[in-house]
Amino acid sequence: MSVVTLTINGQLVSARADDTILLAAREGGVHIPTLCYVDGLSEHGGCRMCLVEIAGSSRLQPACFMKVSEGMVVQTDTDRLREYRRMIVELLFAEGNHICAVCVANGACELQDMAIAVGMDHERFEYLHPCREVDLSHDRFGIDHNRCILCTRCVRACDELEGAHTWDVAGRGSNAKVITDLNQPWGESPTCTSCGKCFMACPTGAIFQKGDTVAETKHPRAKLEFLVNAREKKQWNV
Amino acid sequence: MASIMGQRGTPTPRPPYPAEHGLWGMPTLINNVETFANVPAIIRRSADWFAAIGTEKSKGTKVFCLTGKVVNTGLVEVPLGTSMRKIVQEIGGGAPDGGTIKAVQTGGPSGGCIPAELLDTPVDYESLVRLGSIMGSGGMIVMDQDNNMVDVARFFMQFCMEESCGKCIPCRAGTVQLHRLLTRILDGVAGEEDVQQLEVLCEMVQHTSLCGLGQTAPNPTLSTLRYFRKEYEALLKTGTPAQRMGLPLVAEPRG
Repeated sequence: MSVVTLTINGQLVSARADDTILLAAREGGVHIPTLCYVDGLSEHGGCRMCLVEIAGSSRLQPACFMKVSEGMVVQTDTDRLREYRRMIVELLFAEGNHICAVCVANGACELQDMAIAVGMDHERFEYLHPCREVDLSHDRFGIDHNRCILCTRCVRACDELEGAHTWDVAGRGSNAKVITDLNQPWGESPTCTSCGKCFMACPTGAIFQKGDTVAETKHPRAKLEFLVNAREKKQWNV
Repeated sequence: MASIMGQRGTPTPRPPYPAEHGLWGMPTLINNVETFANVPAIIRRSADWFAAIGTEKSKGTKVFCLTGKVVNTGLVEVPLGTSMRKIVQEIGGGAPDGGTIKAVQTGGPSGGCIPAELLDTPVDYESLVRLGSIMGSGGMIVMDQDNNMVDVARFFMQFCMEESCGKCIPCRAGTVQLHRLLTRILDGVAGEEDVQQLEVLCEMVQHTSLCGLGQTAPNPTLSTLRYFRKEYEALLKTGTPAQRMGLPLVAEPRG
């Protein structure tokens, strides 16, 4: 496996030739914000939080997807990128009904953390107040679509790690929603194995365990990569 | 390509481009039928023949779908570099019923509006991009004095909003907010700060969207702001948002 050297935020970083900018940056100590990317699942490229500037191109590229190349010069934290990241989070807050005060994930929510990280102290877009459902038909879990940001981690976790592919996306545009099987109530799903990997993956309080009350949910997201490492690299001891 | 492979129809980030990694991971050529239709003619009659038609950087002919406020609507094939005036006035027959052409919209919901004063522009890829539009698949809508350019922008934004696949946040959520802003302007409840937010959000959606739909959705808005800004300004309310809502001033400013 060959090694390439690239420049990230002015510092030289070494990376494997098939690394993504996101992973190479992490090895170099540079943190790039992500919402739809989580270790252990395939990349999605949908949240656009990880967009970086690459010298020589006018096009922003998602760091989770873009592979490194020799001599690449990357900027991850310019004023422009910061402003875009803040606007993405504002668009998300305006799009759903994200009310932290009554949410099980209050205090352990990646969307909430991201809002703080991007400096979102107020909302500049109009709240849309959509009418979205809560599905409590499953005996162990529930999904509150008001909190869903359509990151599709649940879809990928169920498909890639559990192999059940219970979750998928239906509808398009702002009417898109995650569904179980053929848009049936989750509790009636014949494919769901109740493994909870979707719950592990969810960044917000959308998918939760029944029995958690406000601010009690802590998604064990690290378990996703643990499972992948255990299966593929036979590493069980962390 | 995703649909062909039995998946939900959403795009993936590029690179890698389809010519390198497309259907089932194999190199794939995916183009408009018109592009492929040129290939047999080029093979049969030589590349030099094709290159002799058109401009230095835009070779060959293009089919345009001419419609709107023009006498002769239909499909028109012309060498690239033909002026827009020739297409809409000579071939199209100009505006019907004594109307005056105000603008020509090219490239459909992804394109922009070329104002009448620029009708002598040659129609080729670079010229249209320089004017803030695109060739697209060759849609050409002629507009006259009765067309409200802000409504044109809103109409195309509605299309993009409804056709958005929903994968990426800027397009899914951004087009909704852009449509809302354009509707506020048309409803006469918007102020200068709404136009500013419109421009800022257009720029963000343009540069952060995953695919061409989101990247070009702001084009009609940006080009009408560029050439027909007065139509936007005529619809704006003056004063602060609070004044516009008729809220009384509760306390006098100190000092």
